[in-house]
Amino acid sequence: MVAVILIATLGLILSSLKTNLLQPSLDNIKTEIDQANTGLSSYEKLEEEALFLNDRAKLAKELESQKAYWSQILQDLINSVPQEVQVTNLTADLSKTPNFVLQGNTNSEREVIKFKEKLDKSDFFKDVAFKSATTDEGTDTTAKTLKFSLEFNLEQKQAKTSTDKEVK
Amino acid sequence: MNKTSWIFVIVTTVIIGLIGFFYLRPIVASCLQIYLNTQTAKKDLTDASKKKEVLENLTKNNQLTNLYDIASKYIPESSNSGELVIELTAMATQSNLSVGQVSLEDKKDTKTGGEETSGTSTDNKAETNATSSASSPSGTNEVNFSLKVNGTFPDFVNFLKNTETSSRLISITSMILAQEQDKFTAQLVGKAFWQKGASLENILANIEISQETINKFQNLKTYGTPINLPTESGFGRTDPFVGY
Repeated sequence: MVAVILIATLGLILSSLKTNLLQPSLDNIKTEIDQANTGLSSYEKLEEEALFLNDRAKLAKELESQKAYWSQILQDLINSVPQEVQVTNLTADLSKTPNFVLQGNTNSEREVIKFKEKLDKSDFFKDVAFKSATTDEGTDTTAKTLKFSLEFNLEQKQAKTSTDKEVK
Repeated sequence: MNKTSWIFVIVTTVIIGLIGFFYLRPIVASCLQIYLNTQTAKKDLTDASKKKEVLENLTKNNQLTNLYDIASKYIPESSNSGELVIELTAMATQSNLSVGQVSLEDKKDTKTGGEETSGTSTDNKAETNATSSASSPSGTNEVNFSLKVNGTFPDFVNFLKNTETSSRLISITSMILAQEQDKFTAQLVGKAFWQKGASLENILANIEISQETINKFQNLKTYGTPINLPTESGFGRTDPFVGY
């Protein structure tokens, strides 16, 4: 009998708690949310613009990370060219291996080897391979010319930032 | 206690248990549900307040509309191939490279096979082709182009620098550089990107604009003047087959 009375009392207390405290509290918060959302509807266009801006920033970051920065790559390449080397043709294609095929003229094998070693040391290039060299002995009026060809691949698509170097 | 007493105790306990279960359980479940709903609602309210605060701060940012325009140009919502050609040509011209024939091939919809080809020619020294193609793996669409320019190597490097800070995101994938009869020639193949709409989820974190994002778009540079039909003049010819 006592247990039944206890259960009944507990049930009444919980019902009262629900009706007088929990439900009004929830209703109040819902009203506040409705009011807040009504206020937010006036910012709809602004919200769309902000979302679009962040979307494009994220997408740009992703696409830029895959992009090759050719001005930096070519700058590094020309910094590696010895004084007595003339580049006559350069083919660069990131979808093919080797990425670069370079043809040029010089006056001695020594210059080609210097060029190859300089490219080997570059942060931008790797797998530098000497492919061919043909000598044009020249005439009485023209000097001896060595036509050569080098093949190499791209190591990195843009210059490393100070943060990248620290991580390494 | 005898057997009858035990049976009485067990039956009474079961009856009380059943009453408790069927009477109290719905009340407790209901209270618990309201409590959980209240917690969720509180979180929603906090989010709505924060969102309001963020948006109110954004209204104070006068650059937002301008940044939106820049972002819409950097990775537009459609291929905008015409403006891409204008931008490439303007960048080349600004870098003292010779720009001539410009041709454009724009596949509007790969599913229906709709295709549009147009071309203009300003001189014979350079050539540009643009092709809109299928989506890249990230769901972004690409506009492929090829470009031929003449000039000097240092000017060409300047042109490449311009493409890296251009108001349209451009990625060059291959190039052939050659010295032909005392003239430097470059043939480029590259792509620009576009995507319809925004794919980011509409949550608070995606509405806040960081300084990094502002700087990113502010540092881009426009080279070509976009076509603005309402303000362009000089339309209408009596005989368009007669030289102009």
